[in-house]
This record gives sequence, structure tokens and C-alpha cells, in this order.
Amino acid sequence: MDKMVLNLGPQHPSTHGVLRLLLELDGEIITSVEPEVGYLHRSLEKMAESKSYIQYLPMVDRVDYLSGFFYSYAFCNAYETLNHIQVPEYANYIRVMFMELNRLASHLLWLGTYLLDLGAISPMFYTFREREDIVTYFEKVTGQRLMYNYFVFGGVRHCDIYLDEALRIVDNIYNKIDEYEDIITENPVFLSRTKDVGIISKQKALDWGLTGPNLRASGILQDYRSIMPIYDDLEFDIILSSEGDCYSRYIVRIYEMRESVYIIKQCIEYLQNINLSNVPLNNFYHKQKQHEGEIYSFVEAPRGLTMCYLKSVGEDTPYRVKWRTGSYYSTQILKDILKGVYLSDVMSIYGSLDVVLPEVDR
Amino acid sequence: MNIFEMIKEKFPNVKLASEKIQVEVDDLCSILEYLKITPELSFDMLLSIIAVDYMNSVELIYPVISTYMNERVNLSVNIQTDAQSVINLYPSAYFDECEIYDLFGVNFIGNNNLKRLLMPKSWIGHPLRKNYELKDKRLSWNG
Amino acid sequence: MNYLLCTLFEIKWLPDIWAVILVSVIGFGVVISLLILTVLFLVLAERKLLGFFTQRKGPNRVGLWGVLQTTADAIKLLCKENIELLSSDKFIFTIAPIMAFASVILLWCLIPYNSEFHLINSSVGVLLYFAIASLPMIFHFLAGYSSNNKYSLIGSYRSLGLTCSYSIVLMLSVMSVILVSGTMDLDKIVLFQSKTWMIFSNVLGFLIFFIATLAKLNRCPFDLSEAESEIVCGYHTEYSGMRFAMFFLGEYAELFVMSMLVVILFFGGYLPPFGMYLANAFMGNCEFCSYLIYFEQTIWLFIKTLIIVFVIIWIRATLPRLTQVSTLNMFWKYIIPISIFNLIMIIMMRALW
Repeated sequence: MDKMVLNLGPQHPSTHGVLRLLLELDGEIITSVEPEVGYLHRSLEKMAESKSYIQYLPMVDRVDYLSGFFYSYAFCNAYETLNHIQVPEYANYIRVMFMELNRLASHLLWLGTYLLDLGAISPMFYTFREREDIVTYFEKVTGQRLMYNYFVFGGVRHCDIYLDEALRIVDNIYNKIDEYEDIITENPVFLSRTKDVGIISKQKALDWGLTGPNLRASGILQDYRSIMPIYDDLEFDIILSSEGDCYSRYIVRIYEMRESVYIIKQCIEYLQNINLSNVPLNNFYHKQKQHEGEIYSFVEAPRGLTMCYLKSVGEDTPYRVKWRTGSYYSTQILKDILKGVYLSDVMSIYGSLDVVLPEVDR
Repeated sequence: MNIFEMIKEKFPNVKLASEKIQVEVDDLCSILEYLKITPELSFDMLLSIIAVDYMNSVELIYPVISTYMNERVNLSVNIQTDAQSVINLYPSAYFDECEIYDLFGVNFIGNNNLKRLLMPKSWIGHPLRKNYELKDKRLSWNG
Repeated sequence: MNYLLCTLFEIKWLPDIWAVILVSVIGFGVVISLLILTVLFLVLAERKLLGFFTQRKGPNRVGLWGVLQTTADAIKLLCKENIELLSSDKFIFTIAPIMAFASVILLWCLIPYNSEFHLINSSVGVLLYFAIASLPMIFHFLAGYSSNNKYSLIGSYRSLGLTCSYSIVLMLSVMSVILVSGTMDLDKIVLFQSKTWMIFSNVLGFLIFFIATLAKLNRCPFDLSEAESEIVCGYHTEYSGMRFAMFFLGEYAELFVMSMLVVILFFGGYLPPFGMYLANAFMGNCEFCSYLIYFEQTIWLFIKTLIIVFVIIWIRATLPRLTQVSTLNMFWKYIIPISIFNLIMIIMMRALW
């Protein structure tokens, strides 16, 4: 029987950006997959070499427009480690709080669009309703809905962060997560689309460099938050699931949202006890002289472990910046796991990996 | 015994340079294999491959982590234009090697499907090289 | 209809043959205008309802509560260019949407709207209905095949595969209805239910028929032949302008007419739910009432149908989409055996009574 080559993307309703998958089909069964990326390449690594650190700082939010705070943090942390800048404790708490809110927003968007990929239209509107709260809050604090540029070298830009509103938002979301679970988790059609579909074994996940919720859904305990110093005083559980199918990736993300709410509440509790109106704002930027060195800065982003490699030779501009992102490796694993599955399962597998293309192409 | 000493015992040519372990080009694959398959180490995930251009050579850094010990080791190797591919050990290196081939012009021996990953197929030059001329007529905004 | 025809015959105002043609044209015109109005309303209703289910407002800009939204959309689609691919099969590509819509119009003519108005009254109405109802699917397949697009092709063969499974189920469950009522005439099936509705004697048959109806209509959770997240739009990916509108409106017309068939087969068609006409209840047995009753019957039919349509839209707002494999599995492994079991049960019941 002749095989058909189907060009899925770069413009396709559910590739969430500009991924192009060259699928070779035998009937409806896929025999080989070739992911093509690079349609959204903005040369963020090259731009770093011609811009000073402070000029490059607003750009790092653009690596992934759905979780900008994590990339801001990774870059700020790299710069602070390079130049030995001490970040005050309150700023760390604010950073953690905003990162976890961002993780919530990112997971909510993933949940909605994933169900949309599976053909259910309603959950998308429900999750976007809650995400809108968070994004509006971000806009109120940072002035931007997606590209925040709020973390600065040595701390945060300002401290007017409306804690009561944040508390109201996370309380609301905590209740809403139960509602999502009511309509999704035990839905028989959803189960038939996700249970035992797209199974990634432990070995496969490690070989292909999966990180974040995708790796934890395969049963490997690896969460960089557990060894990040800024998470030291916060209590949270690492969510683990063992099946490695689409359903466990969904479950891991759902429970991670609850953990994020716990972490945010702890941060808010701490921040309510200190007077934020008269803390000294720490905003260091050494214009002339940068230290020399190589920094590996890690952060656990919603889509996996993010690494910012920063090499400085003492000039005003970085010598080399390299971003390691989670989606890059989640895209690559499609080569392996899509072989032999049905065309209709492509979207349930690809969607469950939570790939965002700007992050892949950078 | 720390990891560096264990490697040093097997491969005497390695050097410790701040956060990374400097290894020889020929040793790289065997060290990675040793790190991966030794049960008490089991460095099972290659995080990324970082390439840095130093005009006269290209440095490749291989950060590998062990989910078992929660440890990270950065192996660094200095090359000219050719490097050994590690896709047989870590399949995740495929995109990284393509990207470095694309942006730095490093040829990975053993990886037969090298292609331009991020830049268009017809692009001339390797943009992340330090001697790359930015005054390309296609980049009209900096012409 | 017959009444009108007899009157025309009696007064000898026209030659007989012209009278027949005139009556047919009037009847057809009534059906067509009903169809257009219903579809315009239905598209709006679906969008409003989906908006309501997802806590939005739905269309509310054109006209009061957005009532003119569908009209505006239809006018926009009329004005759009009909894009044709160079590599497509022009003749089939052009004719497929027209034929698909035409066959749906034919379906509308088969429905008994009240005890008098029944455009095509046949003693094998059910069979005729299903013979014609399988036509739109064939033209959907031809549309996907002729547009020479891979997504369309996949959509086409998915819809073919689906047809193989739901048609059998549809026929098996209709067979149980025919066995209970003892007739294939849609009018007589309705009148058979004047004491109790068919659903009370044939619950299983109704459930099976309803599921197969969802599959037949390409509705969620069986909308896999036009799954927009997988294969863009299925068979009508390459269609634009009015040709797309033909498919789109045809789909809604089919949705309504299939729901009407569900009502006719299981919910007593145009009969009132309380066993008594409201017109009679309020105004007694006057001559004017006997005319009013015809309108009331049609209104009852439409109200019952709208309830079924509401349930179908509700399902769309709730469930994700099934895959091709699990749909075929479900139909062949579970629903077909159940419907055969149902048929046997009905036969035994008939034999015992």
C-alpha cells in the first residue's frame, strides 16, 4: 500500500504556533515523523551578544510568552550570581509568588487548549476566565499582560503588589480547579482519548531529555524547585505519577496547580507580615565593569527545566547566552513516540506535552 | 569520593576548571558512556549542549544530570570543526547537534541527519560565530 | 394538502394537471421557507446556547440579541469569492455542495408536519427517508475526494468509515419501531402513538437511535470527519463562499430534520403531549378550531424537536471528540449487538401479545 506524506503545519489549528510535522501515513497509522522547527526563530542568543545586560533584560520574557517570569528570573539570577549581588529576602518571596502565579496561568491555558484539541470547547472558556484574573493582576502590578520585565538585577522593580487581590484570585482558582476536575477527570470520552495513549517510559523520557511535569508523569522524581534556594522556606509536594500516558500528564499538571496555590499562599502570608511600603529597592546594574565567569542558572519552568548559560568576559555585553528550554526536548520526543499511533491520537499526545513554539525556536 | 575523582581514576587526562571538567575530544564519548552506565553514578540525562565560539576554537559543554543523585556535571571539550556525536548515548542530543551545526558550523561525526534546524535551509554562514558578518543584505534592518 | 387539491378540483378553476402542480409548488415553497427560517434560527440558537454554556454572551451585535447575525453571515458568504483549486475535479467540486443541500431539502419534504400537510406521502416513508438521508454523506465524500487535499481526503474516508457503522445501527433501531407500530408510513407511525409514545415501549431503541443520529449528523462526540483540531475542516477544507455555506446550512437543516424524525418515531410527532389539543381545550369544538389545530400540531412538532436539538447542542458543549478507532469499536462491538438484542426483544414482545 502506498504511503501518504501529510504536512501538518506550520499553519494548523492546533499546533499552538508554527510547528511543522512531516507525517508519513499508512492509512491512519503514522509510520514516521519529522518535526521541523525554526519558523519563529528570533535569534535571542545572537541579540544578547550585541546588547548590554540591562538592554537584554526585557527581551528574555519573549523566550516564552506564557511564562515570562521564569525566564526573567533565570537571567536575573545568572547576572546576580555573576556579579555577587545579594537579593533581599522579601524580593525572593515576591519572585516566587509571581512565578507560581505565572505557572498557574500557564497551566490553565494549557488545560483549556488541550481540551480544545481533544474537541471539547467549554473548558477553554472556563480556564481562560480564571487566567484572565491572573493576567489582569499582572497588568495591574507590572503594566504588561504577558511581557512583564518586572524582575530586575537585585530584586523587583517595585513593591506595590496588591496582596489582597492576589489572595482572592488564588482562593477562587483553588475552588475552580475542583470544578474543572468535575467535568474533565472522569469524563469517559476524555479517558478514552488519554488513558494508555502516548505512553513514555522512564528510560525514554530520560533519553530524550524530558523535564518538568512530563518527566514527573513518567515516574521520575526530578523537580528543580526542591533544590532551589528561594524555595527553601516553602513547603510543597512534588507531584508524581507513574503511568507516563497523556492522562497522568494531565493529572500531574492539575495537582501542580494546587501545589502552586499552596506556595502562593505561603508567600502572601510572609509578605503580609512585613511592611512592603518602606523596604529598600535593590536595583543594581554595574554599567562599566562586569565580572568574568560562566554561570549556569536553573529554574523549574512550567514546561520543564530551564537553564540560562551566561558567559561573561568582563565586557558590557554577555559573551554568550544559551537558553535551554523544556519544549525543545518535548518537540524532539515526538519523533519517537508518534510512531505507530493513529492520526487522531497525534493531537492528544502532542497537546499533552505542553509545547510552546517560541520557546523551541528562541 | 566525588565524581571528578572517579572520572580522573578512569581517564587521567581530565582537568577540573571551576564548574566544569575539561576533557579530551577522544575521551568524551567514553566518559559520557562511563557516567551513564555506571550504576552508582547513572548520569542519565543530557540537559543540553552549549557551544561557545572562541575565534580559534569552539568549546562544547555537555551538562549531564543524574536524576538518581540529583547531581550535575559539566563536561567541556575544545574542538576545531569536527566533534563526536553523542546521539547513540543520548538521543536528545539530536536537535542540539543540528542547532550547533546550524549556528556554529560544527560537524558532528556519527550524526548522519545534520540539517539546518533554526535558520532557513538556504542560509549562508553560521550566525553565532564571532566572525559572522551581520551586514548581510537580507538583514535589511542593520544594512 | 389533499383538502386543498380537492377544493381546486371541485371549483374547476384550473385544469387538473395545473392544480396538482400549483399545490406541489405551494407545498414546496412552504417547506423551503420553513427550512431557511429554521436554519437561520438554529445557527443563532446554537451560538447563543454555546455562549450560555461557556458563560459568554454569544452574538449580540447585529439586530436585537443578535437575531440578524446569521443573515449577516449568509450575506457575507454570498459575497465571497468561490475559490477553486487548480488540481481539483471542477465538476464534482461544484456539484457536491449543491447536491448535498438538495438532498437535505428532499428530507424536509418527507416529514409529516401536521395531519394534513405531508408533501410526499408514501406508504414506505421510513425507508424512503433513510434512502435519501444517506445521500448527503455520499456528496460529502465526493466533495472531500474532489478537492484533492489530503485533509479533505482523510475527512472523507473517516466519514465513509463512520457511515458503515452508524447506518446499520440506525436501520436496526428503526426496524424495532416499525415492528412495534406495524407500519412504515410516517403518518401512521405518528397516529399509532396517540395513546402512548413509542419511547415508553422502546427505550433502548431510542437511546441507540439517538447515538446513531449524533454520528449521522457529524455532531460531537462523533464529529471526527471534520475534526478541526486534527484535519482542519475535513471534507469542506477547500470550500469557500456560498459553497461552504451550502454545507454549513445543509448540516443544520439535517440536524433539524433528523431531530424531527426522532420526535416522529419516538415522541409522538405532531401529537400534543397531553392527549388533547390546546385549541380544543380553550375554544371547544368550533370549525375555526379544526384549522387552528393544524398550526398547533406543527408547533408541537417544532417544540419537541427543539428540545432534542437543545440536548444535541448540550452534548456538544460537554464532551470531547472520540477517535475514529474508538468510534468504530463502540459501534461494532457494543451498539450493534445491543440493537440486535433489542430487536429480538421487540419481536418476542410482539409474538407474546
